[in-house]
Amino acid sequence: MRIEAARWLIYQAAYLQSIGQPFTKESSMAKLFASEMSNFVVNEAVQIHGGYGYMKEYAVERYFRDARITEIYEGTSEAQRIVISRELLRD
Amino acid sequence: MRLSEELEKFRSEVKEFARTEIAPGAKQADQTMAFPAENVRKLAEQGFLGIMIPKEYEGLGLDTMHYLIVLEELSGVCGSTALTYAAHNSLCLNPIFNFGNKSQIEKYVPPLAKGEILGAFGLTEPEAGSDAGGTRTTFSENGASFVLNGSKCFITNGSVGGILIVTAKKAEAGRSKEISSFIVESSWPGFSVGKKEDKMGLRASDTASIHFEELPVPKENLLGQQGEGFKQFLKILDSGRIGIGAMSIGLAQAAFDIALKFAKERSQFGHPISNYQAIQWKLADMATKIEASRNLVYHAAYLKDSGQPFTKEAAMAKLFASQIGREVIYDAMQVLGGYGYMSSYPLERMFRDQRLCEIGEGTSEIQKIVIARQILRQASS
Repeated sequence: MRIEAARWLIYQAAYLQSIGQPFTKESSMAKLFASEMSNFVVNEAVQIHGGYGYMKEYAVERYFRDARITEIYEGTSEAQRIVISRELLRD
Repeated sequence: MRLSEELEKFRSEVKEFARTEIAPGAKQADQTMAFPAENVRKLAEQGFLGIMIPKEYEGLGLDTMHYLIVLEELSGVCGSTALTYAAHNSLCLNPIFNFGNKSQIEKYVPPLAKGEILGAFGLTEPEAGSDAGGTRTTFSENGASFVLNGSKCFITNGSVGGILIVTAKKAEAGRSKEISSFIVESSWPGFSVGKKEDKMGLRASDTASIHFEELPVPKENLLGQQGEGFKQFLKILDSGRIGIGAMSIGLAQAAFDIALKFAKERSQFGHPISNYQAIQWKLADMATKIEASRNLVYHAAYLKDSGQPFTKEAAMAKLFASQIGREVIYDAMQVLGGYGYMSSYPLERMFRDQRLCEIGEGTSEIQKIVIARQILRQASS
């Protein structure tokens, strides 16, 4: 459900961009929501694997480490919240 | 949380020891996966490898709180060394001291407490972790010996431990909870070490599979009575869980300290980021969560040392502190932004090290089962 919701946020932002409409707020929402979702989901995936999820031979171990950066680069989640609230207050 | 003056003094001494002796090699050990044998020697010199064992058996004769303080301070600088210390004390040495007979204690406790030999605990199997009934390792009786056959996996100190407590069930028992435990020496014929695991974090800590093939164990090495293994390891895990809680606190506190310092020094838009409420709230949440975890963990330790039941409290302490530990380190990394993701700061290592705390010695999901069972039992009595 979370993955599905994140997908539609991203597709919506991409759609707005493709038809030449403003998409600053939507793209920040997509980035914030999807990166938080991603870290939540990979964490749960490790947990379901138990001890195996902590071992390099299972891919979830890598997903867990790789997902972490998505909440940091191209503006941290905190920076996205600044962008979104600024856009909301302007509207 | 304020501890006694004696404990605070002990903490500051251990903190200094950890900072000067253990911290410098932690990053490299994480990268190379090299077992921190030198750190083990230093812990032995301090007496920490027998910290809760009475002096007459070569220990320091200190209580659980002292044990936890060492564990916290080690975790803050090198999770791998901390886990090595915890497994040795809590999963091997203390069980022998608590469940062993006089001759077992006299033979095995002094060399372990002096740190001449490292200890390990062989419980987990490919088909049996939290589900002890699934144990496949068997023992049969053969004259003056028991004979062990089977395999254990994910064993901390598995390839470096000289003395191990191993659980097994009677060869003909089928699926039963009737498990017995044995003191096994790794030098005996029929004992072999398998794969060493390559882990997300705690990478220098030794995690290996071990195998027993027609391994003869002298009858006098049965720990307690036959069939007591299940009861014993529940008690072992109760104590171990308090330790995992303390590991989480040590990691969370160290991460918080880094984030606090960074927030005061890092400037954005003309101010230190600690001036922004978004960061202040994170710091306040982190500090509150650590404080709450400490109270739960120390309370469980108090119950244990005063001889009261502590199963529920230990599971709560582990569940809460390990979840909080992940959240605090996550937020600390968020405060540092890109720097937190780089290995030039120890945060990314802490992030990986900490993740085990919600898995090892019973996942968070298992803790909830333990807590619920205790609550329901209390409600019906």
